[in-house]
Amino acid sequence: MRKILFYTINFLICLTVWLKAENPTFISFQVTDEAGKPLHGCKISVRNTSKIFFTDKFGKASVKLNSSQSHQISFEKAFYNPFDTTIFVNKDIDTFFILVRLKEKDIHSREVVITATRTEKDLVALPIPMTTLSQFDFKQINAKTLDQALMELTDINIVDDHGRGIQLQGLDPDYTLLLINGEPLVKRTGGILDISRLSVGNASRIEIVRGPNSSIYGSNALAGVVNIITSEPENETEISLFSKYGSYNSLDLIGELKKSLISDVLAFTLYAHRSKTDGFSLIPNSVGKTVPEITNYNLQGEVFYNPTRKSRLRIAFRGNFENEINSYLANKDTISSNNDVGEISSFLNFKNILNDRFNYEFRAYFSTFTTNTQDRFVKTKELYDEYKFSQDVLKLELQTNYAFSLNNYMTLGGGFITEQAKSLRIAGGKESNRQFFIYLQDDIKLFERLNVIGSLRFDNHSDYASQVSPKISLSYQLNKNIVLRSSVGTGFKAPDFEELYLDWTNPMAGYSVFGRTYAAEGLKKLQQQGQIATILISPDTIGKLEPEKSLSFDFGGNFSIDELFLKINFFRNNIQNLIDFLPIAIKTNGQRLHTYQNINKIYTQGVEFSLEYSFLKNFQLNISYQFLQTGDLDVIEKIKNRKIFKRDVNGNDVPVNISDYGGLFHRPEHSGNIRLTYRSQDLGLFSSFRVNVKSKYGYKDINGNMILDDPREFAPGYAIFRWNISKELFKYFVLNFGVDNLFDRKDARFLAANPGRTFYFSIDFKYIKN
Amino acid sequence: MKKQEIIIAIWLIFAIAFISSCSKSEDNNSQSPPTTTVKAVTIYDLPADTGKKGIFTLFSLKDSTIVSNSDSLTTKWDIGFAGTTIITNSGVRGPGQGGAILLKDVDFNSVKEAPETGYRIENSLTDLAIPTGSGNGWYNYDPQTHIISPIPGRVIIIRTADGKYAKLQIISYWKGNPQPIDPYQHKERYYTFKYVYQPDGSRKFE
Repeated sequence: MRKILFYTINFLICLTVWLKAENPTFISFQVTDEAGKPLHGCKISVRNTSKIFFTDKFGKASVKLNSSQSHQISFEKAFYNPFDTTIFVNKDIDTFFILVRLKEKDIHSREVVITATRTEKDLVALPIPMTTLSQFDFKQINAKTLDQALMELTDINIVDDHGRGIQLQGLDPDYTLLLINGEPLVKRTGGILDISRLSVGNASRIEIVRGPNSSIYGSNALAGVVNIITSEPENETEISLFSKYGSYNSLDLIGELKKSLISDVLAFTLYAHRSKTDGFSLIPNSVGKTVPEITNYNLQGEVFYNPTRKSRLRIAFRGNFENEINSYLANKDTISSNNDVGEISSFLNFKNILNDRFNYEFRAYFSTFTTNTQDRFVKTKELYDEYKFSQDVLKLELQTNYAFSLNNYMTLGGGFITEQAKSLRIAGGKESNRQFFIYLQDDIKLFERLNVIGSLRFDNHSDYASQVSPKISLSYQLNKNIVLRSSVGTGFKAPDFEELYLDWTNPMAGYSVFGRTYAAEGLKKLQQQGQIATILISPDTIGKLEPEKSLSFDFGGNFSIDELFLKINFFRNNIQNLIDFLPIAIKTNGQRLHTYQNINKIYTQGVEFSLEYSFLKNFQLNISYQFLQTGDLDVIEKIKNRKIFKRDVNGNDVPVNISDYGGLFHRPEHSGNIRLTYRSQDLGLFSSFRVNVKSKYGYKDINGNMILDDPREFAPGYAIFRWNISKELFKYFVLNFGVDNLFDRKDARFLAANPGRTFYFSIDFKYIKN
Repeated sequence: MKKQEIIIAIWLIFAIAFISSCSKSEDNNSQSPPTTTVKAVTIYDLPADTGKKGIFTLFSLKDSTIVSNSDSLTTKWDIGFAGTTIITNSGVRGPGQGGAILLKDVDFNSVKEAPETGYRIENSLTDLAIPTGSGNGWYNYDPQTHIISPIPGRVIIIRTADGKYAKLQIISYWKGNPQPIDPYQHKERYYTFKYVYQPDGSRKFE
């Protein structure tokens, strides 16, 4: 009798083989956990013969296999790490007895994606299109803010339009939900969440889900979800220091400490990032700057406590403080504007695995956000304008996961959110709302190759009509190299505080804007004050403001051929109920009183394509391309009915032709990125060369009809090149040098946020004690 | 005081070559009614309350001249401009028989005749003959770019103080009719507009 011991990739799983003489070869298995307890229902598949069978309650199973050849066998069971091995069946041997010990899935494992389904899923066969930036990528690229990190992903479109944001599938940045460890960043009412101010120096992964995900995340997940996952302590002590200096006197300083106090039981992390830039101006002698002077602090701390091996408690704090200084002209007086933004969040998460089938997660989140802008005359220091806004969010949520079988995994979750906003521009100065939600997801595997995920979420809100958001997605593993996928889903974007409660009169022009919920009351108040001349539409006759809603469809697949990996995704998004202004009355000063209404319907459609190719051992080429078509369906209808005119060069007004319509503004029809990287582990050398290309896109209306229909209304296409090189030194250091916008492409009109060529240099220090 | 800072260029186009001295031939042409001369004019950079004091620039369509504000209670003026607001000599604004109709989705040249009825007057200081507000009257306001631009396809039919008719179209709100408009460089509240005035009292524009 011989005994063979296989050792595995992660050495956590043992495979022992005994041999006995008998023919044909008969193989017996027993699968147990690490403690030797038999595992019932473990799936065993013999890949080369397509045989699939399960262990009985003693953890046993058996199969007949041809001798004189090797067999690839895989073992899978929910909550355990899957295991693959190859055995060679010698024809002199009659019976194998194979004992397999599976290790329980590590709760801390980050090898799978979690954002698409809120459960751990294998990325490759996932039915929902996704892109990730892995831990491995992070070690190389030195990206410390979200925009820098996402620029490394060739298939994400970054746009600069009143702040830097993500444009997924041709939809505006606020249609993409931004999360940190699964919790949303507070939506900045009246401001844009600029991703260049979001620190990701302590992130281990970033996951981007494409398409609507309101069926599990609720509001704002129409175009996609971006989830920043922060890193956890893996060593006894880890200290990182980082400093970066670049053009326009911009300086980034980062310090991070990760410490394990009791191995596998108690650990913590501390992180601080300070960044400052002088800003710049593309217009010589202008009063204000194109990009203002900014100082930003990002502080984070987190405690990890595992009372048992199957449970974990995480408590995190995050603070983000920012100051922005700029100036502008108002009636020949120089005004200095000072804006302070602060956000403090705390987060508690308790996760517990009760048994093989059932686990749950409790999450509590509290965040408070304030912004304060003071505009003063430079000469007299007198106050010119002031804006204050603060918002608190409290969220409680419980998510449970239950495995009916190996192929049927169900998630049921629900929770409560309450928000409160304070602002001088909000009716009564203060408003609050409440929301309940519940979601259900079922993840079913059929016939081994087909994966169907259905999800449904119900949101009940105090201020707008309840929302039901369903989604179904499926993937089919055609063969080893091809996965096909498709999904249909809905998304919604709730009205924000201003759209509901705004109470604001423009001090210069005298017109007023009231949030929809406040409109009736506000109008009555103005009437009593004798400020209303004519009522155009009574606010009582118009219903509640509805969330903006989308219906989306996508279809695509992954294709891998040796070193080539291809992804393609066709998409179509229909969005209705877009929120816009509605005049409801004329004031005695001749100006109008507006509220909000749901009006427009838009669509975006196109193809996303990306390619990854590794060659010559150290090189990798990434190419991505997006073809995009967009339009406003109401505008198209009006054009067809000859209701929109344009003025030609001779001053004659002619109806706009449908072929002249260019769709929505700021959407290039063609866009893409190319990245070539060189990476040598031996030399500790990394270099990357990137090109970002956009075709012409609609910039602004010129001929007065407010739509994109004139060649003069397009901004020209452009290409921006970037290059960087980094080198590891003396084990602890990484030096990095880079140039952004290599060929100094500048355009004060169309690329106002782009400063032209900039240089930077950074030093990274990392000390690790195991 | 500054010299008159307005350049007014006037084109007189004779639609049909009837000259008054040919009046003797009228009898011969009795089948087709005599068509009198309409006057087609383009006015450049008419200031419209540039000082933001709420003072209307009054204008006579017949003479194509600015009328002094001291004549605001007479029928010497037909229309007035202040900011984006255009008024007619009617109702609460003046003693005239003025009024206006805003036509939508038409070409200026294709408007051959003024409508018979439907004229609105200045009912009050807020209920105007020509509606105000972005998208309601003659202009669109883009809150992103702060540009006010005339809506293509909008024509204003004006009934003058003495009951005559004219069709009018705004070409630009910015001094010098610049293209493209930069709201931080160019000066607003300067109207460039064209109109066709029918002096004979009929509603025909040709």
